Amino acid sequence: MTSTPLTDRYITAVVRGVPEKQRTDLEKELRASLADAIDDRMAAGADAKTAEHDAILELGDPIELTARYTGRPLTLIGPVLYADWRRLLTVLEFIVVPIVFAALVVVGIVRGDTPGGVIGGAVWTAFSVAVQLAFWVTATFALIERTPSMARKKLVPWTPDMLPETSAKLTSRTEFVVESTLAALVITALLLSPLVSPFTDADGTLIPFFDPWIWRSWLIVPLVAVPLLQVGANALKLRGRWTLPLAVGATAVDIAGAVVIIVLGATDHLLNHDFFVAAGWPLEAVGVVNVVVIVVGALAIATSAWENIRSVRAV
Amino acid sequence: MYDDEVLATHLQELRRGTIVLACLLLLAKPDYGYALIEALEERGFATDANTLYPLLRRLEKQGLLVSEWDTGEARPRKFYRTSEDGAALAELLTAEWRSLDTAFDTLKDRS
Repeated sequence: MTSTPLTDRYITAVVRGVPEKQRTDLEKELRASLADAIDDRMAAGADAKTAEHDAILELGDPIELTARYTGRPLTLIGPVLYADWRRLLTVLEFIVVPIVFAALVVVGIVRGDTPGGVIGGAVWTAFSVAVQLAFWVTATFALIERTPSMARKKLVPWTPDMLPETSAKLTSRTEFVVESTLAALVITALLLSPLVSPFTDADGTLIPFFDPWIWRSWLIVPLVAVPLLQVGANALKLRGRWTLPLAVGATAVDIAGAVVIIVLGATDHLLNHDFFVAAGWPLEAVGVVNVVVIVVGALAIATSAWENIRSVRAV
Repeated sequence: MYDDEVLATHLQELRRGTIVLACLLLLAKPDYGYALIEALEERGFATDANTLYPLLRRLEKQGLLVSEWDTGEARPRKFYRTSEDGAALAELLTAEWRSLDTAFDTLKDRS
């Protein structure tokens, strides 16, 4: 029997996904098998068209058949990687999306946009970020799934330490979200301060909310680094990866941060007097903030050591 | 009472893997894909073409089967034959099957 367009199309569809050097052999074998099946059906009384149609139908979807020939997975992310994929995606979505949202709200408010516009824009961008994250994480895992040398083993072996907190400890997760969001707000406000301000001086230069001395003195570096490190430390604490050396390190970071803000408060270098003048706000407020900052810094040092060491015991 | 779907799944789970052994034993005498489906079915190992054809190539890749093209007839066909490794594996799997069978018997004796 001669091959028909339908058989040709089916065989082409199947061998397309097979490595090139196996294609000819597979094509020949598949063609013979199909021809045998068609002959049998015709011998049983079917007409040529129906026989071919049914024989092809029996072999089924070419994508599935190709996958069986090549041993490639018919799942986007298989059972070996699924747990890694889900865990990573959950953590990323819950950390990145709120930070993006908070940062955008802060930027919008600082820029003086309308509240509706600020929220709307932040919701839309946060949604886009969530979708992008999901897409790229999933695409990466799908790629790993299709890389035979990597797909055989889990990326991160599971240990009981990775169990999520029970409801009794849920407060620590809420704390984590709140603290991360606060850190994001502080960092965003600090970094945007020299770039965004509703007021300009006579030369047209922006009047930042925070004292420009923070940048001149390079104290901006610890001011940004400390909250970031604290979020990282909290994440480790939350995942139960807390050890004594980490506790000591985290305490050192907390103390460094506290010292920096105490210095800023004590030397009256935190807020920009010119901003307050331009805004028509009472300058006394600057003094009050300085005192508050010093007290907060002192309290932070006092509680940090106790908090971090207590966490070691709790784990 | 379980439904037909539950029964079908459990039967499938239980039979999975027996096709490999059946092929290794049957292909002591060379045969080609389409004929093998019928041969298997006659002996009570019904299997789908789209499962068997990829399986044959996989077993060949693992060195358990060897293949040869028979171009003597009008329709060239790829004949598979169990290799020495394949025969050794078949013996091992048969022994495993028998020991499982014995193990099930001892389970039945207890009740």
